[in-house]
Amino acid sequence: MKVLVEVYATLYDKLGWRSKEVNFNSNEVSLEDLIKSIPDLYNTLINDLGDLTELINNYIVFINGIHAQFKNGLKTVLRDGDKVAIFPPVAGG
Amino acid sequence: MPGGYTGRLARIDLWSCKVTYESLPDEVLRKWIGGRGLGVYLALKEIPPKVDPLSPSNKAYVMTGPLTGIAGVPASGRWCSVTKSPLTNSIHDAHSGGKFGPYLKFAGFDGIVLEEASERPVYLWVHDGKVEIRDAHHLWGMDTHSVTDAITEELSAEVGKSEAKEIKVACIGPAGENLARIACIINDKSRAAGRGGHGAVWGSKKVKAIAVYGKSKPSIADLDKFREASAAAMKKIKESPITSEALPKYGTAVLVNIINNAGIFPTKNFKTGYFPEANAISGETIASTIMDWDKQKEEVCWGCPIGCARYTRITKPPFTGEGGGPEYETVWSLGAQTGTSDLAAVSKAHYLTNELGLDGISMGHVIGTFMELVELGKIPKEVLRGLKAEWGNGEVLVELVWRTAYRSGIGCDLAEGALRLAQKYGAPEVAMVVRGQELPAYDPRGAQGHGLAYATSNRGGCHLRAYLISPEVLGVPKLVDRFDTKGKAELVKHFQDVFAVVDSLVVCKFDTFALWTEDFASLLSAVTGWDITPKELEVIGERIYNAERAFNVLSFGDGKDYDTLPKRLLEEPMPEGPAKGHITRLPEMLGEYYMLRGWIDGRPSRIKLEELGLKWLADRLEEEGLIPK
Ligand code: SF4
Repeated sequence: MKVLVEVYATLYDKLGWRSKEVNFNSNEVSLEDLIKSIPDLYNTLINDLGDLTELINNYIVFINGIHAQFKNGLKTVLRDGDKVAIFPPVAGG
Repeated sequence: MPGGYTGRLARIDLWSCKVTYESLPDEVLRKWIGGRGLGVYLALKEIPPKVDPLSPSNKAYVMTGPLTGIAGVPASGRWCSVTKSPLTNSIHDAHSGGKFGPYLKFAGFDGIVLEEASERPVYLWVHDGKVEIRDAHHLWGMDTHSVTDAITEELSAEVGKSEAKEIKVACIGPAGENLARIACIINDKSRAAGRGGHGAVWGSKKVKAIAVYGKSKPSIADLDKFREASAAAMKKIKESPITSEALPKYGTAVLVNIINNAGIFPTKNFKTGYFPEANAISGETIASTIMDWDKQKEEVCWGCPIGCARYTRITKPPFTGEGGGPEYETVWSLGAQTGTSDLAAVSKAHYLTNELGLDGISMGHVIGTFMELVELGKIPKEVLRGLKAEWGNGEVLVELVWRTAYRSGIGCDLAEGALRLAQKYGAPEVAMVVRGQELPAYDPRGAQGHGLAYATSNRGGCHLRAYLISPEVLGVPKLVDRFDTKGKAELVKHFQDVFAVVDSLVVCKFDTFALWTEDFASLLSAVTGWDITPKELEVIGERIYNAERAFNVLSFGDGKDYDTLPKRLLEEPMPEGPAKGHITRLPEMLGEYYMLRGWIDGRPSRIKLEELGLKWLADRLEEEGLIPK
């Protein structure tokens, strides 16, 4: 299955890419699996947050536009065609 | 006199050219603080609520607050205009950054009251504790940049060339002179007291500008306590990744991608919440393409450690131009709202709104309304005169901004705002407004609490009475389910009351991403010498919110019929994206909101008003038969 990952703001600056399509053979892929499968993303997040478990409460993580908190957090099982968007803390008005 | 204040208000009778000075009693200051709060208090005492906002009997208050211009209070370079709005007929406050606010205080004043109307164009020269009324005949007709330069040049002869940069100017452009109901006041060339048509009120009084200059710094009552409170507040600002990283780097338009991803980025007049080309107008794109980082530093408001301001430049014709901004709200209004993804066109239209003195939010919004009316075939060909007002046409944006400022052709109708425009062409349902003010850049179908905040906003469609996007989307201070209506009434009321205080202090709302009532109470106590608690601040906020609502009840019978949203947002499900299928479920929240407010059918009850020390206001409503039973 295919999942699209997009990163924004400082995360985009640090990684140098904006979006990535990731292919998996299995259909049992969690949000955590997805992040761990992209080394530079994983390393940057660990560097920023210390621990991946901090991601959900400190960053804004959308799965198809819905906050991962209101799904199953890092354990959310992804489906073919899902879009994951990751934003460091941002605000405006 | 408590610290933080100058203790002086200048009252300008523009008809008789008389200037008087007065001070306000301490107990009034403690009850209403300053800025927005003091403004509504004075308006209730002085403006006949039913007055035509563009008549001489309306008044315009140019206000600071006790924290304005205090070095060490984060983001305190703000000022606030209060008047009865020609757009909404409500009491209305509009806020602006830059440097003008602190310098008004340094010139010796907490505020200026503009009364009556002048026969000929004038500007005010406010310096060293006095106000002079000067002829502005030669300045009438100028855009905001030209008038700022001309006045600075003129007055530098008096203060000395080396001091010229210390003169700060707030002014109106042609839009204000032409009484556009969406005209704003511009200070420091690119900061706007934007919403509600305050520029038209100045225009109706023939006040072209106010120039301020002075060196007197406000006193601080308890310096040791202040140092402590200031250090704690600054630390929080520095430690918050939002105020220390995201806002300085990308500006407010960093929100474009997140709000679009959430499916609530209003597109083509709120037909949908997803704009496929959003990234082209995002903060990230602005930062990497059109920013001038050296000039950006000059754009930052006085005393601001956050620095969200932008300075950008378009070098390629046909949209060449430069200036402060654009911000999230204007890239939305001139961009997604009109279906335009050409950043150059959007930026050019944005620069022009500042130069001509138009509220960027309302201007772009109204163009979107117009484009939908054209699409629906509501605008006759002879009115269009060949204008291709189609979604996404950047050239048309620029032309319509010009036309609106000068009320030329169809611009005359656009200058009236979205509601009057849509009514005139027989489709009022197309106007995405609350109390006649155009809604800003969030579709509430995917943020239920934000919908309640829009509907109950005393100044009409506004995201800054209660920014529920913060908890509902950004997770600040804590994420709540944006599709749920439970608990939203309480959150909205709390945010409304706290924001009323922030607007009265007067400091920037972006402080609230890192600071809250306990921080503001510490800062205010140290500066004024009062021993003020967070609870007292919340009561003050509640008092202000009730007083504003009472003014509106007296003005146009405000109440539950106005606490609503456009039909599209209440009845038409979002067609696509993460919020697909949702409407704003306002009735699920409104009853609880009224209960928490102590209101009956959207009007303050006697019990509530008396509890807030506003018996005189309850009596006044009673006399008019407007107190709910
Ligand atoms: S955060 Fe932005 S708008 Fe607020 S005071 Fe600072 S520069 Fe001005």
